[in-house]
Amino acid sequence: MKGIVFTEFLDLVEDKFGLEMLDNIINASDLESQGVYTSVGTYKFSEMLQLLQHLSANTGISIDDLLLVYAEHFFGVLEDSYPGLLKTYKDPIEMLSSIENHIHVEVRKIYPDAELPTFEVLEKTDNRLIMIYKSSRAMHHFGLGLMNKTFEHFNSTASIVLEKIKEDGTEVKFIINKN
Amino acid sequence: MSQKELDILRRALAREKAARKQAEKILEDKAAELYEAKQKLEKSYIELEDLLSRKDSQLQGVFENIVDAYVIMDLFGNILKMNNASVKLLGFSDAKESFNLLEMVHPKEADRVTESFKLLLEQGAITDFELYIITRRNEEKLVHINASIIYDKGIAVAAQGIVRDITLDNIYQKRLEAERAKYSQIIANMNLGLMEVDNKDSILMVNQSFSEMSGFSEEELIGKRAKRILPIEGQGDTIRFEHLRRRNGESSSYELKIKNKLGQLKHWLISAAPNYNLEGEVVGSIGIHLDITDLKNLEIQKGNLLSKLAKSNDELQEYAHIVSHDLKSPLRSINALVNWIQEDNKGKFDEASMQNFSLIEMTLEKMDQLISDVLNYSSIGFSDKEKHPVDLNHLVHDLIGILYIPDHVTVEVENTLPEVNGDKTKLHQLFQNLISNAIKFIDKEKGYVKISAEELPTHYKVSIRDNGMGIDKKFHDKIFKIFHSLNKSKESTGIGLSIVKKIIDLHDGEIWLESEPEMGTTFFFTLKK
Repeated sequence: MKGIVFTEFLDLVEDKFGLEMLDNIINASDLESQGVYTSVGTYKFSEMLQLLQHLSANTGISIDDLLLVYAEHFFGVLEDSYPGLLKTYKDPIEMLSSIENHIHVEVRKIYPDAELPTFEVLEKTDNRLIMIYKSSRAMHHFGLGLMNKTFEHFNSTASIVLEKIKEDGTEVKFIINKN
Repeated sequence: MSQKELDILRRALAREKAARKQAEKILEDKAAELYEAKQKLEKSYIELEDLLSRKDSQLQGVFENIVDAYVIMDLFGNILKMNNASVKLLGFSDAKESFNLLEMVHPKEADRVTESFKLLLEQGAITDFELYIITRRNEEKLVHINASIIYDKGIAVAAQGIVRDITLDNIYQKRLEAERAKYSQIIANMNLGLMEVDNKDSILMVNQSFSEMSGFSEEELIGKRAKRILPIEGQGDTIRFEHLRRRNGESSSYELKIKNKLGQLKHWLISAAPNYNLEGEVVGSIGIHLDITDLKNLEIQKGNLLSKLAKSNDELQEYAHIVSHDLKSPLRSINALVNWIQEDNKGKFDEASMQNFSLIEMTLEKMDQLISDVLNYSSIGFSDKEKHPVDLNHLVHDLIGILYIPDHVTVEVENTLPEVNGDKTKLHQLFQNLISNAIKFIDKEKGYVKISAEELPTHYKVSIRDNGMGIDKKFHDKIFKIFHSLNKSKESTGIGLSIVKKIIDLHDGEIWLESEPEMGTTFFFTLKK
C-alpha cells in the first residue's frame, strides 16, 4: 500500500484525535515499519488494517465509518495535489466511470507498483452509474467516501447504495443515482 | 509538559526523522534509477540514429544501383530526383538537370498520359503503364512505368516511378510475331499434311492440307485421339512402337494405311519427330504426312507386272525349246533326204553337184548349231540355281581331258586356279567357249593356250592367252555382241562370246581382251569371290 495513504491517515488521526491517540495505535500495532512512513514508500496493507482496528477499538467508531471519513479527507489531498486531473472532468458520473480507464492510469504513472482496486461499469446513463468494486483490501467505504466527495466537488449530490456481492466485502456493487 | 507528553513527542520526532531518511533514500534510489534509465535511453537513441543512417544509406544505395530508372517528380511532372539509370534512359547529361517529364511524352500519347495522371492522383498508384516517349536525345522509346504517390501526412506531395525501357522487347516481340506468322503461313499452305499431338495422342493442331487429306475439318479433329478418328487396320503395333520412339526422343519415317472420312483406304508416308517444351521434355510429336496412295498403287501394279513377266518369260523359254525342237526335226529330215539323194545317185551326179550337196550338208549342220546356240543363250538368263563353291582348277583340268585338242596345240594351266562361288555348269560353259575358241583360231605350227589366275581384292582375274591369229583392235568392242562372228567358219555361229559375256555378268565380273593380229590374243575376265 502506498505510503501517502499511511501519511495522510496518520495526519488525520493526529488532527482529529491528537498525537497521543496516534502514539497509542502505533505502539499497540505490531508494525514492520515501526510506524515510520513516507508518502513515496510502499508498506504492507496489514499495517493499515492494524492501525484501523486499533483506532476503531480506541474510539468506538466502526472501521467502515473511519474509512469513510478518511476518504473524505483523502479527496481533499487529491484536490490539492492533482487539481489538473479533476479539471478534466465536468461531471461526477463521467469522472467516476473513468476511474479504471483514466484515473488509475494516471496513478500508475506516479506509483507504478500501486495495487489498485478495479471498477467495472455495468450500467451508465447521465444520472445513473452501476459499478462492481473488486479488491482484496475490502476498502469499499474508502471508495464510497471518495465518491461522496466527488459529487460534492461538482456541487451535486447522489444517493449511493452498496450491495455486498461477497460477504467479506472484496466484491461490492455500487448503485449511484445522481440527485 | 509531562514526561509522557515528552516521550510521545520524542517518538513522533524520531518517526519523522526516520521517515525523512527513508524518503531521502527512496529519492536517491529513484535518482539512480532515473540516471540509468537516461543512460539507456541515450544509448538506444544513438543506436536508433545509427540504424536510421544505415537504412538511409541503404536506401540511397538502392536508389543509385537499381537497374531500372527511378524518378521522383512533383505533382506537375517536374523532376525532383532521379538515379543514374534514369539519366541514361531519359537521355540527360546529369542527374541535376531540371526538367518537366510531361515534355517527353510523345504527342500521340498526350491523351492517355493525362488520363493516367488522373488515375495516379485518384488511386495513389498506376502499374504497367506503357507509353512512347521522346528522350532528351530525341530518341523514341517505348517505356513501361509503375508509379505511386508520395504522401506527407496524408497529403499527396510528389510521385515516384520506376521506368523500364521496353523498346527492344517490343521489337523482339514484333519480330517473333512476324516469324510466327511466316511459319504459320508456310504450315497452312504447304502441300504436306501436318499434325501435332500431345503425349496422349490428342490432336492439338492440323494444317489445311491435313484436313484435306483426311477429309475431316479442323474442328472435327482438334482434341480427338488421332488413332480413333483415323482408323488404322492391324497396325496398332506400328503406332505403339512409333509412340515409344517419339517419347524416347527419336524421329522416324513410316508408312500407314488409314481410312479417311469417306472410308477410302489411303497410304500415308509419315515423318514424325518429338516435340519438346521449354524444359526439354517430350510433350508430344509433330508429324508430316504425305499421301502416297498413288505411288503405292503403282508399286502394286509393278509387282503384278513383274510376276506376269516372269510367267511369260517361262512360257517363252518353253516356247523356245519347242520351237528349236520343231525346227531341228525338219532339218534332220532334210539332212536324211539329202543323204538319200546322194547315195541313190552315186556316180550319176557330176563333181560340181556333189560339192553342192556337201555344201548343203554343211549349211544344215550350221543351221542345227545355230538353233542349239540360240537355245543356250536364251536359257542362260533363266537360271534360278543357287551359287555354290566351284573349284576352277578341277573344272579346267577336267575340261582339258574332254575337249578335242589337236596335236600341234598345247593347253596349259600355269598356276593353281581359285575356288569361286558360282554356277558350275555355266562356268564350265564359260571356259569351254574361251578355250575352244582359242584352239580354233590357232594358225601356227606350234600353238598354245595358257591359263592363269590372279587374286584381286574382291574378284579373281583369269587370263586365257593364245598365239592364234589375233583380233584386230577395231573389232574388240563388237565381238561380245550376239551373232557377230569374225570368221565365217562352220563351227562358229557368233553366239559363243555373247554367252561368255552373259555368264560373266551373272558372276558380277567383267571381260576384256588384248590382242595383236598374227601374234595372238589374251582374254581377261574377273569373277566375284
